[in-house]
Amino acid sequence: MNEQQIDEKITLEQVRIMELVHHRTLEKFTAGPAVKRTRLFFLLLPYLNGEYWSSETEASSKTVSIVQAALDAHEHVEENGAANLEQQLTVLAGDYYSGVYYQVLARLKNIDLVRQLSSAIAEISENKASLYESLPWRPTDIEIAVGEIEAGLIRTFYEFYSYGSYERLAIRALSLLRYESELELLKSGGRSPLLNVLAKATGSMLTAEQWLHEKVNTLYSEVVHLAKQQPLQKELESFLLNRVLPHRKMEQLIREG
Amino acid sequence: MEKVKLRILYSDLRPELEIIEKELEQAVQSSSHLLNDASLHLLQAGGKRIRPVFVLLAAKFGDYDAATVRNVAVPLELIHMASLVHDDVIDDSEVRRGEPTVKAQWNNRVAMYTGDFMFARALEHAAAVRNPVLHEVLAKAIIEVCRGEIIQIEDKSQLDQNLRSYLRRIKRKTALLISSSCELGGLAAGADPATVAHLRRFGYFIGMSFQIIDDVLDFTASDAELGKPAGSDFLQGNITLPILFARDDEKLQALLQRTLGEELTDRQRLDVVEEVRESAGIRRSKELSDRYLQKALRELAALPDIPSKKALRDLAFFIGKRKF
Repeated sequence: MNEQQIDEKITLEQVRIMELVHHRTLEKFTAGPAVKRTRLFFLLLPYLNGEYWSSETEASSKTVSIVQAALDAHEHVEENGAANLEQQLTVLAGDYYSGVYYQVLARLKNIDLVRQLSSAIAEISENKASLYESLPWRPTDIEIAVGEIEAGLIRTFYEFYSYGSYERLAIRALSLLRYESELELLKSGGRSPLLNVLAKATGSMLTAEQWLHEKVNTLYSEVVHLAKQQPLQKELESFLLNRVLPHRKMEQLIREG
Repeated sequence: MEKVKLRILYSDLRPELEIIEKELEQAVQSSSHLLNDASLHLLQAGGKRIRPVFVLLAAKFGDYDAATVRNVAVPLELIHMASLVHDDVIDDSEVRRGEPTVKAQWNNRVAMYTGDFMFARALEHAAAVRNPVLHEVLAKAIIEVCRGEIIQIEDKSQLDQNLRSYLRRIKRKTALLISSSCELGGLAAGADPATVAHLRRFGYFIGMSFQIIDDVLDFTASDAELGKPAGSDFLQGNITLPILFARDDEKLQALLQRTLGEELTDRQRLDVVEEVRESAGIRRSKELSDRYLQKALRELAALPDIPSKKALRDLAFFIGKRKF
């Protein structure tokens, strides 16, 4: 599969998921479902790399994206914002997508995956909520929480369909992308629950920034190594490094002179 | 008094309801102290538990297997509770059942996580049931509840909406989950299709009656009885049945138009509540609720004469006549 075909498969997947969760009012008044191409890339990774992929796997993979869209919608609800129309419908969008994912799996009679994904959603919610708690956070705890929040659903899907060998790569890469966005936020003067616990765990916002820098560099090297070790097909590896993580690659090249 | 009545109504189900209560507590146990506190806080604030009760009673019309029935009853209550946590964010509510809401005690985001967590635990629990038909019924009900909530937001502050819109909204928002509780109870116990259909329709009519009475109580009950300010629905711009009927009175319509969507003082709020309470809107709403109640009783009449039938009848009357 060349890069264009990979791109087309991701686009097709994106379109089909959007069709499944289509709702006129939600689309009119909210940001709509966040079906990120990066996540789709990792979700489809075993297929793109030539692994056995049945029609059932294909259908189930879409529900993972729908659940992710549900959880992401609720991330757009402001902590203390007033109840305006967009915010109200954003709450309901998340709930609606959750209903759709359940309905799709119920129709597929895949109740075992309902159980596994539900378990992952509960764990992700626990990890997200824990960022609001006064816990004796250590950086390693934060890494585990971030890995679960960012890749918990994909990990569950991989385990369910015996694609466990892709797990580490997805967790590292998706964590890397999260740390990058937190770093950007921090540099622009923003704050988030994750940045707050990182500052507590490392001592200050300044040390949190250093920690994030180091972490993204380490994770990038790890991802490059894991992509080779997997091994990923050449085009896929290239797609990963040039399209999914292009910014990091540029930084690496600059650093290496 | 109402709580005593409910306790009496539930007395035969007490052992089973106590197990359900324990399972609900177990289901929301979390490694996150925050989620644990938030979920338990909600659970312990009480509630009528009418959905689990309908499941239990409906299941008596088939081969009652306690464990299977609980695997349906517990998720339904958890799904209902999850929707309440999210509703409080939507409505910006500070108080529910006399207690601070999750969003008031923590924040909107924590309320989102709490609802998502409870919903996930509900489905985890439900997954113990292997019959895919039950899951399709439950999934459909969940989606319809969301659609109902979305329509409610679309219809907000539109005083010129018609009765059909209101009925369509409460059907999805409330009646379908109660209808599904009865249907799922029957399905979980393997009741025959005709019985399941009667149970489903009974639940639907009772659900309609329940929501209409809920909307009436928003005006007729006191702040203390409601555990929130009377007239909250109106304050949030929700046009409920008493308002739809009350607007036929020109003087009252002018008051409603003047106050709808405005920030009202407590005095102004109570004035609106008082005017609606005195209007024909309350009587006419109760009449419509009664018609649904009668329809529900007709469905019940077609079911076999077992003790559960009387319990469902008593519960239907309680719902139709409750004071808060």
